[in-house]
Amino acid sequence: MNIAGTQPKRPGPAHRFLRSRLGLTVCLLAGGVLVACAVRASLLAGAARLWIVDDAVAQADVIAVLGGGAQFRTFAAARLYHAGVAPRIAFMDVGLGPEERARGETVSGETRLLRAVLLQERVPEENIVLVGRGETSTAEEARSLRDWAVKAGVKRLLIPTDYFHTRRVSWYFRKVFAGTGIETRVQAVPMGGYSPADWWRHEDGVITFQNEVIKTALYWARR
Amino acid sequence: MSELPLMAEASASVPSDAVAEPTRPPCGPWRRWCAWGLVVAVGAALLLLLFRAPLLRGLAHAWLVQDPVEKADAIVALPQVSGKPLPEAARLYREGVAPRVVMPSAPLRPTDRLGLTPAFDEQNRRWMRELGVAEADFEVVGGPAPTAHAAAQAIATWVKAQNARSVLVVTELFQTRRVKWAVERALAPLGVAVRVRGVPVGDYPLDAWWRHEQGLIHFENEVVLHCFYRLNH
Repeated sequence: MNIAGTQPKRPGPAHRFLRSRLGLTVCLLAGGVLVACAVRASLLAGAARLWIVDDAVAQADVIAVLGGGAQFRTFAAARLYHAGVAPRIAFMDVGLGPEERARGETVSGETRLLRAVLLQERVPEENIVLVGRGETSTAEEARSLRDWAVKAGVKRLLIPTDYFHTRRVSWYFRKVFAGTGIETRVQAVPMGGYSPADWWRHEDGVITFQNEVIKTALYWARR
Repeated sequence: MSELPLMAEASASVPSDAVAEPTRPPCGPWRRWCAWGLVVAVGAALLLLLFRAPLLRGLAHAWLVQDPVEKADAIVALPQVSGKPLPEAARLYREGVAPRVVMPSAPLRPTDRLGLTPAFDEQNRRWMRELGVAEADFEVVGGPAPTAHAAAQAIATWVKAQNARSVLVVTELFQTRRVKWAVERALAPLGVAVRVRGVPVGDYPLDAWWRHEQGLIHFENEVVLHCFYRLNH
């Protein structure tokens, strides 16, 4: 019962907003963003761990070195070779760049570099195989490697590649090799100065991760 | 008690053939906002789709920084790992815009260490000689700088030692915004004027960058890196 002369206090606009569904949604979103900011390191490291595929290293018939990784994939392949993981290394014939094409070259500098690194890392020449013909993408490399591996009687293929590339390689190679009876395995190799625990603090980590997310989405869309 | 006759009157005034409509809950502000939001979003998406070419072209031009070329104490060529800015830096040097060209040092790659590839610093030095820059007028400065931020710090140290008052930075087109921000930030305490010129890279025309995979990657990476710089430096 009201005391005579006094009106019941009406809630203010802020109070009304907070009690509305819109207000509740905004509060929940803001709370979510704050929590995400507070635990961003764990979230981002967790996202990287979820993304990266790192199969257990097992005895393989061939280690495959994909193009564009002369600075780290070849070194990782040579290490695995010397550890006795596989008796051979297959490396890709990488496509010519525009300037190389203009000069009329037939073998790209990248292909020559992949071979030179393997030889420099004491992998005997007879255990190195050049595969493909001027490949320019992971998809082309997967198809060339499949055709070669089927003819060569390969049963298990090990692909060392950089952290964030592993998911696309793992998925796409399994898809391309399906029905051949060849098992493909992927090993995550450190590249650049970042790790899955701190990739978002490094320029190349941020660029590599987001580029891979986009490329993987494109591969999924075009499958 | 007094309400009953009123209800009877009201029901008597309804025509006998009228069918009672199911009562609909009033449309709340939340639903109205959602409906309006949807209409606006669809309209905006249609407009973006329709005018995507001029919008994307305009976006690229708005993103770029192209300062006028004026006399400077030094031309800075960035980044060190892509030779693209070197011919433009050499051209500006030959035209007398600045008496020297400087470039922060590039980190060594594993294959450089093995002697399988020439180090970027050596390669750039040789190329600048070929482009007509006197050896004494080309300088590689600082320790290995793997990022634009590190490069800006190396330039700041050099500028301080040389007492330079102005620099003209030549870099890749889409990088101009980030490079200007990073270099200005490093040189602002020294009161040095920074101007930036961009050179095109890649095999795509600037006015159709979104139609080429390389153009899309370059532009998108630059937007991400710009945000990264703003947040971290």
